Amino acid sequence: MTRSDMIVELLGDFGYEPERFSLTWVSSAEPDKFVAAVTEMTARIKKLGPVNRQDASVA
Amino acid sequence: MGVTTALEWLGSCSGCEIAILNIGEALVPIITEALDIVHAPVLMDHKYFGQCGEGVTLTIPEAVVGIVTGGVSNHEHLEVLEEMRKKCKVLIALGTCATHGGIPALMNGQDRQQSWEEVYQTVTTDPGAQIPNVEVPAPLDRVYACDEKVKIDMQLPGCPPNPELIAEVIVSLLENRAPVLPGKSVCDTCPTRREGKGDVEKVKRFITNATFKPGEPIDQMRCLLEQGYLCMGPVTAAGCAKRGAPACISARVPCRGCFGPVRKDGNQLLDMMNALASNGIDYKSVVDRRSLLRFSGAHGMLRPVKKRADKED
Amino acid sequence: MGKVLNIAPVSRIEGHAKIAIHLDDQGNVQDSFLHIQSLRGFEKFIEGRPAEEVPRIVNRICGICPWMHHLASNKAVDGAFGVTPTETGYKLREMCQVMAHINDKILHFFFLAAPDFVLGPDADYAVRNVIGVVKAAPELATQVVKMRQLGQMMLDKFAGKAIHPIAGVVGGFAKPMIEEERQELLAGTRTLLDFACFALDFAINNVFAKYLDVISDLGVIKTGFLGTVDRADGSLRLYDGKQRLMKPDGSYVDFEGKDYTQYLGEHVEPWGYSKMPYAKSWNEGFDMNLAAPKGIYRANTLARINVCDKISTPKAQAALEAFRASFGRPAQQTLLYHYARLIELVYACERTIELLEWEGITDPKVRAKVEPKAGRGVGIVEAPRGTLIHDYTTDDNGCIVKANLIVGTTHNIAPMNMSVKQAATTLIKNGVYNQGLLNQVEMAVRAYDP
Repeated sequence: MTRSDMIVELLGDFGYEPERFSLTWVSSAEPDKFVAAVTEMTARIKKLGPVNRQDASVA
Repeated sequence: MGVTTALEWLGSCSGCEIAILNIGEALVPIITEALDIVHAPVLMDHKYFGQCGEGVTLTIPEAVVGIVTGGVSNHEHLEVLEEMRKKCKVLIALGTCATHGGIPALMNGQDRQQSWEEVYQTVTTDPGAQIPNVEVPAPLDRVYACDEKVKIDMQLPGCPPNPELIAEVIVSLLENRAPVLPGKSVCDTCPTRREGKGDVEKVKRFITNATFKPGEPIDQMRCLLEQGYLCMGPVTAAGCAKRGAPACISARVPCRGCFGPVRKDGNQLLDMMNALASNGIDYKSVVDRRSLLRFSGAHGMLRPVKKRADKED
Repeated sequence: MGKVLNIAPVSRIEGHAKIAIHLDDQGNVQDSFLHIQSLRGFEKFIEGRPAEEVPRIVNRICGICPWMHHLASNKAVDGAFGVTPTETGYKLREMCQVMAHINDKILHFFFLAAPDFVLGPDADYAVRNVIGVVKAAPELATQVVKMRQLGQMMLDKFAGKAIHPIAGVVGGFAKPMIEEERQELLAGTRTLLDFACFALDFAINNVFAKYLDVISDLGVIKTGFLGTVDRADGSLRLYDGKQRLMKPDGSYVDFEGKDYTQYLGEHVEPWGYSKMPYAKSWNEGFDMNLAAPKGIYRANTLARINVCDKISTPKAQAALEAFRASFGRPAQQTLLYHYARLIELVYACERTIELLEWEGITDPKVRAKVEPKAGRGVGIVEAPRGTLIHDYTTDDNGCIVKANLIVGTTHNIAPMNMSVKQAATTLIKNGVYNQGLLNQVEMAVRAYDP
């Protein structure tokens, strides 16, 4: 688990929002949970927009 | 007649040029006989716009060998670099600024526009000052390494580069052979005693001197990482060692990565974090992680830290 | 039709500049500008860095005088953290600093400036450079190369790196000196002192005597001067002391470096990235008008020679007395910068020997205890090019939150503009100019060793 905390912090070092990374535990018997996780993540990323908009000024 | 050579400096501090001079007496026959220096603003008077300044196009004469130092951060640097590429058969990027961005690329981690505005608002600057923009080259959006803008034939990093290696590169070019350059990392050229990590769990700031007996040879001193200091030897290209030990280590000071990453496209921050994590050292104990990229901030490595994008949709 | 002559790049200087000479329809000089082309923003990108790391970042401001930035920075961090270096740490730093002055001055006079004097200002540009000097005077050149290399390698070997040093640290120095090192350094410095005395004699007899009229005319302006002097006896000091700001008439005021914001302001013009410091405390504003300059003072060798009451080392003091007998105090002629530079070269060698001969120089207590904390420190040293000021504010974590830098050479940006104007106006009349005359305009800049 320490490594995934580290990944989020290091992403921040490189200018990426922490929301772009997520670690979710889903078993093969939990299809609904899987769908929900992927749907939520996709929506989140779409909201954040493409990574190479780095040069656009951010709030 | 010597081999025609042009030397230019872009966003340079002159350190690489002094490193060339530090080749010492061996440099004299090189610059007076082996090479025919046709353009080198630091040392001789060839001008861009004609010797009386009446021309309009920036011109550098043709040369077989071109050496360029400094990174690319404004439009004049870019113009000079492109002209050097056009006129020189073999173009060498000398020094870490030219190969990886160097210290000036620390600006890539800031908001450039805001930073420049604040430079002209310091406590002693007359109020109301604006960023100058008349007859001065406009900045680019960030600091670039030379190979991000033109093809570079040979890269020789170092801050400063090792004079012995500079001489080797020049002589090997003249002798039409591949240069003999050290490979691998600074650790490979470091003779300090390794005993294992011991009970180091955090890195400490360099606010106390290293432990060593004054006058004792370097190979009697314990490795600085093992002493608990952050030392970037494992993630930095070899080349600085003169007199048997890496330059900073020989002064009992830890390495900060000034020759850039071991592999051309290595990431000194990630590689160092990996090295620490693999040894069970708490990465959070490193204050100001981003400054591990202080020498290699070009190639998109250092970017401004994004503020929270709450309003984006 | 008026035209603009763009002398670019200004050569044999340590930076990037362009001289633009604007001629009117009759071919006389209407205006001239020294456009400084680069800005990197060190003051900003050291924000957030742990303060003890900054001395090895800001040394990269300049590859010719990195020791100056390195040590001014260390002094500023000492101040912010409230640390006083040990006496040995202090003196090891001073020793490295004055040694670096030695190498810098040999480089400037022989590699950059001498071609104009040895080969002549009008010589073909293809030979008017250090390579031409090697061919015209091979014995002298070999000696010069050897001496510069000796000085550089002494520093490199003792401190690990001569270029972009790392051995100065908050609280003192990173390693003690041992007796063997001390003896080697003493022997080397004595050789350098002999060379320094020879260089000064050589220049007095072969350069200054020959070019006396150029000295009295080229780029001459009237300004004040800024330098550093010993707190106790007003003698020349390069590493530490109080600052002395002298007016053109020779009257002066001494101040403690940390109060610099009360004395110095920085003027900005849209046509050059470098700011132009001026004497705010004179309350006359800023004006580069040659006939009636306002607020203008110069730094660097001539300034230091002018402001000091004396030099504490014997050979340099004798040289100073001879200089003052010829040129008075303060001397204003711009080309005398070269003469002053060589007097300082002799002082730097003598001072290095003094420090090496001090019995405590090999003491192992080289670093005081350091605790990062919030504070503000102003670190000032005399860089070869002028008074260098690093002003840092730190947070509770000991990281930089704010910085202000006044770099030595910038004190001379306004004066250089004035010298260029004076030189261009005097030399270029009725549209008559050639590469030799334009080189003489550049010589007015080169004297300042920018």
